[in-house]
Amino acid sequence: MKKLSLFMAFIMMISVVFVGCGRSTDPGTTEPIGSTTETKPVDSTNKTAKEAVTIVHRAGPNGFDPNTGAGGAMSAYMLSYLIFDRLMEKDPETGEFLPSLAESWERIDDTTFQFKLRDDAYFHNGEKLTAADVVYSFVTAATNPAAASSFKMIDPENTKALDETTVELKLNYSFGALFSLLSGPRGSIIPEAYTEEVGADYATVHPVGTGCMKLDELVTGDRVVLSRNEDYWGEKPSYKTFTLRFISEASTRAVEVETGSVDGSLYIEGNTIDALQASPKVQVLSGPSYTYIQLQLNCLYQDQLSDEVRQAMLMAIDTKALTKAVYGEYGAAEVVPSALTCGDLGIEHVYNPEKAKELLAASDWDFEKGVIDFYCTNTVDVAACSEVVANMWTQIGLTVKIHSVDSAGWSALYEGGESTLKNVSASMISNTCTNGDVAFIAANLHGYTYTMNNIEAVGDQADLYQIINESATLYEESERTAMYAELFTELQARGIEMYLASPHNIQACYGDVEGFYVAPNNMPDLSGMTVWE
Amino acid sequence: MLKYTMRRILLLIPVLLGATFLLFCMLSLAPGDPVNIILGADATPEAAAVLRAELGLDQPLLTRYLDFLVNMCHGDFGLSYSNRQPVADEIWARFPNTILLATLTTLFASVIGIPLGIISAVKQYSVWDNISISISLLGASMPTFWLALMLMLVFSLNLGWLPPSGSYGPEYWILPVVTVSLTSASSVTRMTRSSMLDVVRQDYIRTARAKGQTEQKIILNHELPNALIPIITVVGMQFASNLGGAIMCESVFAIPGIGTLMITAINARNHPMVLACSVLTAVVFSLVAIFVDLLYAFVDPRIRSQYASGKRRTVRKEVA
Repeated sequence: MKKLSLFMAFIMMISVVFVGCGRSTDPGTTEPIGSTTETKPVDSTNKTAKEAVTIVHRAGPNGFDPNTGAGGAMSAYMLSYLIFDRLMEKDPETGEFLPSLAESWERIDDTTFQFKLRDDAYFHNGEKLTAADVVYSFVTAATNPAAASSFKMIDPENTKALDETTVELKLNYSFGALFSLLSGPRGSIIPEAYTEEVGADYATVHPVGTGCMKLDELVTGDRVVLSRNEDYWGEKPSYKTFTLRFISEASTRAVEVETGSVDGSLYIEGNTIDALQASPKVQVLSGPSYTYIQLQLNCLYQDQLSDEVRQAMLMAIDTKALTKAVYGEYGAAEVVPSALTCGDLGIEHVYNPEKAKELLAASDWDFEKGVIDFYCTNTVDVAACSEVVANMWTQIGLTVKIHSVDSAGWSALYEGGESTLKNVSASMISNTCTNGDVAFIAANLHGYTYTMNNIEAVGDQADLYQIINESATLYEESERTAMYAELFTELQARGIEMYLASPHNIQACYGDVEGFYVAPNNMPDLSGMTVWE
Repeated sequence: MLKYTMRRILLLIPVLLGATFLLFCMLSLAPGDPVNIILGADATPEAAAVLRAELGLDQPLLTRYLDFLVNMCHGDFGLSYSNRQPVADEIWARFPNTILLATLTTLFASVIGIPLGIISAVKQYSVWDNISISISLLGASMPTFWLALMLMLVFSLNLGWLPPSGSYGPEYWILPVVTVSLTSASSVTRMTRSSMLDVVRQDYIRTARAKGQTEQKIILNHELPNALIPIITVVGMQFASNLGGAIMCESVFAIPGIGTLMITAINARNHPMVLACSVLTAVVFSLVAIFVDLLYAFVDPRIRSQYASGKRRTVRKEVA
């Protein structure tokens, strides 16, 4: 008995230690953060700016090639904002395009643009920026197999330098989202002579740009250290070194911020927000994103799902309930993310489970043997969304089987063509439109080889294909908005594809920090960030 | 002994051939095209074909495997699909972290586990035995992931004694080492206890006690040496598994090691990287096994004499 008591006492002691030292997660003690997208102003009197700033990201880059994003790593794009400059920058608040390496620009006609470059920009290796470098950057991007699809509108043969500081950019066809592309991370300008000299290693380990920071150290899987470019043509950052650390575990990122070991972190997850908000020195920021949960229903192989079944499936989804269940207050039930260029397209999702049941009853669906094979990527939020959607489909009488695959496995479904696609009823993935223009989402509908809703291939959707092509060519914002609104409304009405929710981006910082803001593409340009001692 | 060692090292060759071939087949059959991952889904078929040829992925499986073997024999594991840099460079940049974590963890687990196991066996059914069993049970039951986060909350966040993550100095290694050690130590404790309990009931121990030997001498000179073989086996296996299995710990404490590298490589279908990491792990695992076998001879004169007379196999059966 005595031994048992001692044993129990020991167990109790261990429990008390862990429970007592745990986090306070009482939801009643914290206020919702709403959409505070930027840090509060700081009274910097008698304060000095920190010379070394450390920010945490969830994954490291494979390299720094701005055209390809080094395999799409978000951290590579984010670093490219500091290492490279672009012809123009997009104001994160107004969406206006502001001069950067190009002092001014002019649209000669729908397929010809002239850019006048500034005369005082130098690359990190001391070479002066010339129009030839800009031409080289675009021609390289347009001919690089890993980037060509994004730059296919550029005519590499007729794009030329008119003089030392004037570039004439020639397009194969008019393209309304051109400035979004040029101001995005892929629009970075690289030095011709240096890139040719260094070869393939340029993009991986020796990036050189005209940006305000230059690469000091890359410790694979751990951190990238940048140092200030003292010869920068524009306003220099307040810090001398910028370290981007890579921590894959969300709880660890939160603890790093809470302890003040780092100055800020991107990719804060919902379950750590309460604890972070309870800390008086931590600011939690959140804002709308360019990320969307994409649901595709198989219309390419008509024998898989009929029009009625697909329409019923979309009508059965309560996007508001789904967003609340998965993201709480940190997400928006938007058919198309309103943060994207063109703003809120004003498309309402039609949620009508009763009508869905009627459609299904009138369809040829076999309720006894029919199974919805639902393929989803295995990320946390997509897995949660797929569970909720599957339950909603079950409610209207469908039998659903979820297949969880990693992103490579997901792509493999589409690479397999008919042999694999005919076994897929629906699929779900999380996507981010990095340059924030809705045109690139629309382009995916027919441009991607792997989408099963290849509009081009589906005969009776030819009118949608026409809308996609026409909308891409428009420069007038109001015209584009109208066409995209029509496109996405039709996609939903015909039961082809829908975007269910747009999660918010959440970040946190420690101490007196200014200029740390939530960017919709999760790649804030932190050159204006200041951390006060 | 040398002959035996050489034979064991030569046996590594078929083991590696088998392991790499199996892995090569599995990677090739796994869904997901590396070319598609590198170029993006909307690359043109022509561009994909060029890259596929460049990476050798257009060749038959057996040809690719033989090429891999030939290059591996020259120490060339190829270029990473992710950044086109030599695979070996990235592995050697991370391997020291993994080795350091595995070594410190094994040392710490042994330092805790062996004395606890001895005390537990010597004082069987006492309070100390119960505490020792409870600790080892706790260590075995607590998920590494949970324990790592709890330790981080207590010692980094609440007490502020240690940094939460990273590998920038000795203080950064304390939490990861303790986390993995507690799990490993529980195995060592239980094995030490059961092995010691087998020995303490032997006649020669009773004889030593009857001859008036002190308890300390009996434990250190008679009981422990005779109980060491299973303990060495467990410690060796813990070291080997920590080399490839501390992935959770590496992930939570943001240690750039082989485990996280391999996971990233698998997700990216980075075949050269996965193969190189696997070969490295298999080699180290096998070398540890050989080293453990040789240690048997060091601690047990019976085995040593059998090595000398070339009858190792028979003795191993007897020992088992």
